[in-house]
Amino acid sequence: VSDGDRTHRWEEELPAYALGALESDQSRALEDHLADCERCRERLRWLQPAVDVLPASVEQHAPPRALRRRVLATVREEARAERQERRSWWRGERITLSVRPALALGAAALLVAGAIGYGLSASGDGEREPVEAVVERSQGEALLRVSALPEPEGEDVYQAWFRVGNRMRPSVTFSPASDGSAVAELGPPPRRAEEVLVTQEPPGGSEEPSGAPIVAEPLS
Amino acid sequence: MTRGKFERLADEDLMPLVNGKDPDAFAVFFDRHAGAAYSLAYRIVGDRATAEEVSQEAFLSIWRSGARFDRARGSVRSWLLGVVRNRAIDTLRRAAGRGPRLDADDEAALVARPAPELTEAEALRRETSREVRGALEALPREQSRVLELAYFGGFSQSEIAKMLEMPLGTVKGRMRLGLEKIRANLAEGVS
Repeated sequence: VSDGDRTHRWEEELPAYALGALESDQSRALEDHLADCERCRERLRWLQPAVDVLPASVEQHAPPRALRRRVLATVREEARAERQERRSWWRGERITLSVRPALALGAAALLVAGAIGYGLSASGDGEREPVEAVVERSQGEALLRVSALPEPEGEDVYQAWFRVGNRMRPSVTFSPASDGSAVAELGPPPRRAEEVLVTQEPPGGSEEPSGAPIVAEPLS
Repeated sequence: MTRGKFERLADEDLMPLVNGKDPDAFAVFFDRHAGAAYSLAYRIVGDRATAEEVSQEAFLSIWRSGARFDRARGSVRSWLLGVVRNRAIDTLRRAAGRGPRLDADDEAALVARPAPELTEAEALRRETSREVRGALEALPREQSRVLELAYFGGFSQSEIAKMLEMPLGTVKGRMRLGLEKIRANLAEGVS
């Protein structure tokens, strides 16, 4: 069987394929053929608009109002729940946060540390001082002071973020001194910023946080 | 962004916002296409309650799946109506105990379809329902019949051959001639 015969055979199936009237196994075989055959792709491209106009040939009815009400109510509810979930995650309302292994410090668990935001608590190999953070504001600028930060993993750095609603605005990156302390000048907080958070990020920082925050300090 | 701004966006520019889970963008998308979606579902399933259910499922599946629309593959409306058609045919086949559907999933038609030329897309937008109905009605009955059984009935070409008691080759030929005539009429509309 020559290539030409094979192509001709598939060409015969293109109208049924475009109409969705080929059995699944035939459809898959035809799709394999289409991947390699420009002639059939071109033919299908030409036929497809004839199929696309078929829905417009039916008598048009106004959709029931109840359909709109139900669909849009579901959509709004799901969007609200998703926003809420994102916000909860950042506020640390979940007890178990997903953290990158680099941040997990062996068996360390991430705990919510009330007024001082988040703290890292070690276990197994001795107690570790909790991370403490304070945000100071002076002349419209924010200054973050942190202590007891663990050494970031590998080349990673720490990055500060402003949380505005459920969005995270990136701020500066910094590395702690050998005693785990750091002071970072964050610049002026965006309007309506509610919190300063700190995450561990690759060198140069990120546009979006790539892991759970280890500091979450409210902006007064 | 306000609803008014969304309304000024073309479908292709609205979809990334729907993808980003913006309910106002989705409302504009819904209002633009719900009539066509519901009408197609009704034509296929034949009763209002089921048509409503099918339309609801199709719209919500697009909302939940993140609207995997690829603008290189054709218009948003054709894509949505493909999703509606697949679901309606599924419902029909299940109700009739006709076995599995023909298309693998909602994305099947989109994955396989090549991008139409711009002039064609423009021609499709200009088509009115009446003109297209005219194009279908202008076909010889034996050709429009196989197209309707395939597209609106969800029958495979083999099933149609059995149903109409004719050779498979005849069904293929009628499908080809029918589509070629509609296509040729569209091409005239472009020029």
